[in-house]
Amino acid sequence: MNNKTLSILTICAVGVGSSLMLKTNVRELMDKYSIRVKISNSDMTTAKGNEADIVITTPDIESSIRGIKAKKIILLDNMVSKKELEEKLIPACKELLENN
Amino acid sequence: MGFVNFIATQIVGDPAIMFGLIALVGLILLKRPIEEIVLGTTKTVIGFIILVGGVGLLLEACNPLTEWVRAILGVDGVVPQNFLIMGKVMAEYGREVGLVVLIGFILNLILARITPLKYIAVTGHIMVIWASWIVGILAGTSMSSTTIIVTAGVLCGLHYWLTPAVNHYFMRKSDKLTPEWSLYLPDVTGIAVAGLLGKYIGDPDKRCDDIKVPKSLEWLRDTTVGIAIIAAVFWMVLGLIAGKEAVEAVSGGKNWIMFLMLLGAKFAGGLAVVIYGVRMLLAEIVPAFNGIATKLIPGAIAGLDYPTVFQFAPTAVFVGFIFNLLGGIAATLVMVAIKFPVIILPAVWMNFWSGALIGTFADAYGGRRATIIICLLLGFIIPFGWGLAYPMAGAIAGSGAINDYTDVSTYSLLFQYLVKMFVK
Repeated sequence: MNNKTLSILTICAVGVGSSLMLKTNVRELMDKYSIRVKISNSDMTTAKGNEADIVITTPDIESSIRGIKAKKIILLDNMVSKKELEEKLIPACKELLENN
Repeated sequence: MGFVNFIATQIVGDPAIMFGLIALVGLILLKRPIEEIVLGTTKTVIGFIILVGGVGLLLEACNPLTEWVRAILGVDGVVPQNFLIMGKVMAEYGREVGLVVLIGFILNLILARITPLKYIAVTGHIMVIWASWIVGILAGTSMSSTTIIVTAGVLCGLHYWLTPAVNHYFMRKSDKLTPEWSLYLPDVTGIAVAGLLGKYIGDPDKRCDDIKVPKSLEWLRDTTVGIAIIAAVFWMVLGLIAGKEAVEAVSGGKNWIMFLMLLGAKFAGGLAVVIYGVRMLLAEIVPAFNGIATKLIPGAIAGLDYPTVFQFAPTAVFVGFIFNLLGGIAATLVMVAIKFPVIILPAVWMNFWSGALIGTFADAYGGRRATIIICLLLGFIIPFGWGLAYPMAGAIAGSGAINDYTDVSTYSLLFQYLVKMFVK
């Protein structure tokens, strides 16, 4: 992996509970793969004011954040599953790192 | 002594510094790089300051409302909103709340480690809200600050440990949910009612997902927007009844109709600021807590947040919210009609979270019939308990706001009666 730092934004409805849990899971994964990232979490109301390389959220929130500035949007059917996160996030990270 | 006193009043005694310290220790234990430690600690301190600022805005929007209800009906008008409770208690008793959460968290870890019940609460904001609630109640007594911290710390430790334990029973008893994790949510009452009565009310195989929810209603899931609109409507109605004079007395020279129109937005805006502060405050602390907890207790079952179960019944989330809200609106109208000593306004916010949660469990245990009936009934009954809880809420009584989980109307109410009877 190269030295570029990716920015990742996790979003849930209120932005204090599930997005924070996701943030912890993302941090754990990124440490495992030694990918440099900056992770923040947000709520669905104000999410559009942010931008990030990768946005991670759930399908029910998708319509509320349509048009957000992100290179990739990852939708998790099961936000608790670390396996699903790994399967969807790692290829996205690799693609973004290789294209730059 | 001077040095000890300095530490006690200026460092541990200042909630902003106190939370900053918790974040600092957490980040060091997680072995994050130095720049992240500095960033995280600073953000936590700023988060607390923002939180306190947002409370001022929220109260500015709430106070006129309380006055008008009093002027019209001669009773207290109360807004159910747990973040308002949290912010208000933290602004006054932030040091106590910080230490209570810390003691509660450590006690939870010890209990999960040494007993067969391997449950740990990791939903940070709700842990802080519940600690604020207990501190607020006890602050109304003559207890010293240290006694409050120890008592509330132990009570919160038990609460953090047992709540996910009970909720997990209902998570694993239905094959439509999951035994993989649990929930740390003070809505045990709602979950238990749905889990125990669901099967007598409906058929778990006739699910909510067979109902089509129109796309045009999806915006309601954005609770900040929903609360602004519904609050604006209710406050407009109350303001119009209170009349031009009563409104202009607090509008600061603004046209009374324009002032009324913006009150709902002001409330939603204040709430958004408080939550923004909470997010900054917890963004570094919660991952540290989680990291420590999972390292110390292998095989622990985590008590998580509301949306983690919404995937099991996406339509029930919506149906539960709507019927819970209808129940809440009916409760407000009945309270006005029977001159209940406290008028609880519709919660909206928790009608979404509790309604969606109870809907998910009711759907798993009794299908759509149970979802509609249980959410409507609980939406109607529970606010009466909040009304009884309000005058006994210690430092919170008189603030015009009440904690709005379903458990506030059951075992928590019993606790308040005990405090009232036995603690001077």
